[in-house]
Amino acid sequence: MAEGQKSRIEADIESLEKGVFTGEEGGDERSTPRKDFIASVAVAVLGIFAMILSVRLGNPESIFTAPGVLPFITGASLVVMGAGLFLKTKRRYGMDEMLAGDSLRTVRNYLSDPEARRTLMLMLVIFAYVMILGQTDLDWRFKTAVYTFRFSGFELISIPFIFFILRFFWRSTLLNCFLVATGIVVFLAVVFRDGFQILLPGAG
Amino acid sequence: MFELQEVLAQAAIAFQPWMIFVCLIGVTLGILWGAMPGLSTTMAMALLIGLSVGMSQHVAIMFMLGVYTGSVFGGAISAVLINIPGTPDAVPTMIEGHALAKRGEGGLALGTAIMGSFMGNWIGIILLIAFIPAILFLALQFRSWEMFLLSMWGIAICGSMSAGDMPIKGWISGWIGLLISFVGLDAIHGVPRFTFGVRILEDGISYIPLLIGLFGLTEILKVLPQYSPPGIPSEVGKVVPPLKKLIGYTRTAVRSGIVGTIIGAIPGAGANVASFLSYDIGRRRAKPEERKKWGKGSYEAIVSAEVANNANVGGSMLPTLTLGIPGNAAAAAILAALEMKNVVVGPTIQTENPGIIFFIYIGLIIANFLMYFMAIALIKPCVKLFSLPRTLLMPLIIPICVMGAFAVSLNYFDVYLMFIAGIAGYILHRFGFPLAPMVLAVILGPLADENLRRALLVFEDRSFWWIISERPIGTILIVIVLYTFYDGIFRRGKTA
Repeated sequence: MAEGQKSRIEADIESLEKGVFTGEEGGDERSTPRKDFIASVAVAVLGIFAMILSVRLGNPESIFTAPGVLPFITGASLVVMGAGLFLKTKRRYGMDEMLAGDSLRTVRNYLSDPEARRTLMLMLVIFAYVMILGQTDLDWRFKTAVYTFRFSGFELISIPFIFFILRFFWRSTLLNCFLVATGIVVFLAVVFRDGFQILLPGAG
Repeated sequence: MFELQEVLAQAAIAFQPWMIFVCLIGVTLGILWGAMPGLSTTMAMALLIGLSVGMSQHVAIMFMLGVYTGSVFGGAISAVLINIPGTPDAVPTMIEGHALAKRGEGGLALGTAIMGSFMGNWIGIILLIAFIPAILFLALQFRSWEMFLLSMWGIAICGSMSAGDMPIKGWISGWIGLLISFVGLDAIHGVPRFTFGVRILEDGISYIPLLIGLFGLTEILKVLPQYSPPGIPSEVGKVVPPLKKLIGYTRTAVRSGIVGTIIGAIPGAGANVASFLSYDIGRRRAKPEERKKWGKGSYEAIVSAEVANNANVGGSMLPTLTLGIPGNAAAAAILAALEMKNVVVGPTIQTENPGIIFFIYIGLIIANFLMYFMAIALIKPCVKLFSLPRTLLMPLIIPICVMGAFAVSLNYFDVYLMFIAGIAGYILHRFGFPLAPMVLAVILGPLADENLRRALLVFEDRSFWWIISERPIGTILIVIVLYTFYDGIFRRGKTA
């Protein structure tokens, strides 16, 4: 990526060599002072927002059983943690490094990175897939003597979307992408619907 | 006598051919899933919950235990053969195993990993069986105040353990999870909280779509856009689990097993932490001539890592079953599967679900034996699987995420939730926040909220000193919670 970060595996190996564990999730390998600064502000704002909403919940009986007690404490803790993250980042990298850089340029740099563009495109495609599948309601049945073949909205929407994603990322031939997309979607549909009797999304 | 009858009754269910077959399917899927680089144990667990929806209670438990046991081992196969760990906890195995594979000893390295995993599972299961009665007895003494503190400690320690040298990020992730858990009707007064007038939010946010989004979709968004070529598998050779050789490493295996189980029992500390820690302890304690081999292909190092990460399975079940606090994100998926099948986990598990604990013990033992045989049988097919590019495999997981999220309550809102969780998880990852504390907090939030308010009502007319002196378990928990924060702020924070 643009920040030139280490890969997860490299970070893990380095932490092993040092005898220090970097974290279950790969820790802060992708973090930067600027990101930590933005995160600290966002967390503090979220905390304040939660506190306001908690106070507005009111107090039906005793203050001790008020629905906003723990949400208020949680919000207040988040404000403190946001401040803590800010101070920690400031102490570690200094104020200048934390505020360095132009937000617009950072966004532009991010968008110029091919991997970032692919990620955004993938997000959009999955968003479209989820939205369209949510609006679909279809369940065709073809009865034969031995088996009832079914074709639902799940297959109708999933096959073209998976085909598109495969075509874009796997870059195989049109036929290969189509066969894999169709094969896997039909296989999943049969396993879930016929094998485990689970209703599929988009199937009415 | 009563317990023996119960054990035999549960064994009769668990040893039915259908049950063993389902467990075999779970173990096979788990090994294949774990072996695929980029597909983690938690992802396997989160996505396959959807598949367990249509199963009966015992079948679903057997299936999920099979997946869990199989996927923890699976990571070792790709680690040794293609130098890419299938799961993060296989990194130490990768360092040692691939060095051995390059010398033509890949088969022996994998055999050692299989045997180490088998032994690790046994140690985890034995310690689980040994400690459950004591922890259940202790847990039954817990009242509202203690349950609240225990939940908060679970979230705090999970944040500390999963965020490396920035525990504050783990805590923030956990606290955001708490806020998410408050969405919906309040359990005491029925007041809608954080619903913004949206009726569907009044039912609250189910953590299963959240789990699928955070560990399934987020992983796809992280991995798929990186064009990485498929690995070139090393020669496997003959895979013979070297029992005689391993007897020489008994001490290492027992020590690693204990480390793995203890780490597993700490909320948030998963197989990753267990294998790293055990590897590090093993290196320090190895004989000088053996220590020279570490990093260049040491069988003892493989035993250290593999025994620990597999013992972690049994360890993670300990707080999950007795306290309702998952030992790690994968155990959170087990918890979700159990709750979905109306199994009440926590201190009352034995009274509310008689026999289920024995069934889980037996299930883990069966899964361990099946893992041993399937691991040997699946190595060659796995080599074929590694030649498939991730750009082919990852897109195929997208419909599984959608189906899994929808299957839980047949509500399409959960699919939207899964998508939002996936995007949020990706953003949090980019900002260096761990995701496991968030899931744990969403699970523990309602428990913490209800118990705090009950406890505050009980303490209404009491002084602070009364609470401290009359509730010793609570006081000990307060000290532990404060120490967790102190350790995170003043000790671990300074290592950076």
